[in-house]
Amino acid sequence: MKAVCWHGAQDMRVDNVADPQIINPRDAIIKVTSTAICGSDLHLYGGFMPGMKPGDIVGHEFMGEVVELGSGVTNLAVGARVVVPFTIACGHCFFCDSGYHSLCDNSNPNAGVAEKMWGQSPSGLFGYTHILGGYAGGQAEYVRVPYADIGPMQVPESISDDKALFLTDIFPTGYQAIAQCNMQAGDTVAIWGCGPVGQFAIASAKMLGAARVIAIDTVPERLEMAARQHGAETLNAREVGNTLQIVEALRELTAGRGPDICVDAVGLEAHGVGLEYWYDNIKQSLQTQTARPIVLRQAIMACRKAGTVSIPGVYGGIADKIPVGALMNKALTVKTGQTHVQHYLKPLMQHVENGDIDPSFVITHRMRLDQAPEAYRMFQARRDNCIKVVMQP
Amino acid sequence: MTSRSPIEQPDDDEADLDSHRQRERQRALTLAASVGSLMVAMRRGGLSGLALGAFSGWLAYRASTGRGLKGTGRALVRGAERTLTGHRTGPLSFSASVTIARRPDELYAFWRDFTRLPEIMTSITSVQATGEGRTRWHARTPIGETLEWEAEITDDVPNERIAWQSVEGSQVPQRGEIRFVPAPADRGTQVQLELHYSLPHGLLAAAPLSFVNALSRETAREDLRHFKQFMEAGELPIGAIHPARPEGDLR
Repeated sequence: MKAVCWHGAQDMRVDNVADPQIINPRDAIIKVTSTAICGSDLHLYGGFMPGMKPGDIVGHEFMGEVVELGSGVTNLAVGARVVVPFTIACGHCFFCDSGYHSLCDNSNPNAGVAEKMWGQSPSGLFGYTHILGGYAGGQAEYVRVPYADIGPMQVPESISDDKALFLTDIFPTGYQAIAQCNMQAGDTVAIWGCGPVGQFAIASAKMLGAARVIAIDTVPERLEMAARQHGAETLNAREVGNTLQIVEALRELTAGRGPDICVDAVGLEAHGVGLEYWYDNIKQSLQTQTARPIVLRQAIMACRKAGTVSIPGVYGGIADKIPVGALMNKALTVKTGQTHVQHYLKPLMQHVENGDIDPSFVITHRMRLDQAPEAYRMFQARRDNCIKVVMQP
Repeated sequence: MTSRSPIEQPDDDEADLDSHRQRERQRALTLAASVGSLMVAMRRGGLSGLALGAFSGWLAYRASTGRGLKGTGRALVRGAERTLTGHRTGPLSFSASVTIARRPDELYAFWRDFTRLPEIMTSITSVQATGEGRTRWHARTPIGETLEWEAEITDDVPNERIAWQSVEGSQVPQRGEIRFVPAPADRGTQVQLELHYSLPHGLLAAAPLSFVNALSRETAREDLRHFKQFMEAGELPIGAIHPARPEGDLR
């Protein structure tokens, strides 16, 4: 079959590889009908995530048709049309039972490696480093899906691929970023990053009743989408300036209080201006830190006292000069984590079915799987207003 | 009460002071020897000077710990062994623990069977019951040698603990114990595993080195993790199935 394989930084190729097979009783094989490139795939593409090996099949946003089932999967039938959560979860451990599926105890075969890096191991992920299991991803014609009896969710006939696909990751990820913040009536939410996750965080904040949403980015087209689609107020970080100026702008916009909820939907490759950016850039390229935590600093500095900083943006290792004094003295709460997709899948599918939201609004490009290398180049350079590429095998 | 109260004064103040003085004397002597050997080393130069310099460093370290030369010989032998084997030889003991979301009786039943252990233990290829609480174990070392030994149950408290040890004259003198303790608030069971390998001290008498090297706390932890995965999820996760070989790039 054809699959998108990582061969090093800035080097994605479409390789001809062996078809996946059922290995465990709870496995399923899915024939992929739609797959997308995630912003977090760009961290792999840029070579920022450790634990990749040349030839790894990438991709964790995919859906398709069940073509084969292991003996342990009795609640799905061959031919079923399903979306697949990007977090791989066993469904039976303490964390799965508590709704924390991205923290599943049992799905990462390389948990020992993750424990050395992070103390404990989160769940395995599709196509996202050997530290998180080395599972083959879904930018391919076929993919093996473990624990298929609790992960994949059947898609009603009435819902198209375009509307269902983003339930795998970015819609629940944007939703969780807000839902975990205990939002109160009248709250203002500031969201850094208007990529796909940011767009869904903005949409979710509106859906969950935020009084105001302030969207922050450096790309005018993305800010424009945030304003047009969801009626967000916008702040172009490049025009506002450095961290102190952004914090001040947000303080002014909120009459001195600061946003009640600050969302870092950017993660480890943040951009900024001036000395701060160059400091982080140099440290990152010398590998003395693995992130440029510019947005995280801004979110902590800007956040209202006793407010919540929510981090759906991806980080891998360590970061420098985190304003821990602001964090402590302002009594902030930090909520973060990979997304517990299995936990949100059902209610969010219901929202899509009800027509509360049409997730296909983020799609800007459609391509064939063959064109993946070009798609990665375009998405990385944000060329042609690229926000979301959907590929058909 | 068995623990000593923190404010209790020691009765033997005098003896303490004596041993303290002795330690200080030893420290001064060792430090002097360190400085002396360093001076000689610097004058000599070359390879022997380097070696003497290293010895001086060792003495300085021993002086800082106040332990003098006592035990240096044994430390050197152990160091050499460690360098050669990549591991300690002599008695090896490991313990590891894990919390499993299952009742103690379910976990006990799996372990008490013994013959199912190869499903979760990395280096064990088979365990056969030979009757009367005895089991025959087969292990494969990382480089493909096979080892076998016979073990007998030495203690068995249903749903609480099982202990076993290899019988006299085994190739791999081993004993182990597993305990099942209910976790608080119905959070399953805390499983504690202890393994002891009494390999004879010294290189030549040891079991195959690759096997010794495979024995570690990490292996014990991994095996317990497999136990948990098997009991909770019903299967062990397998991720990195690399496509055997790309059949050629399409572009």
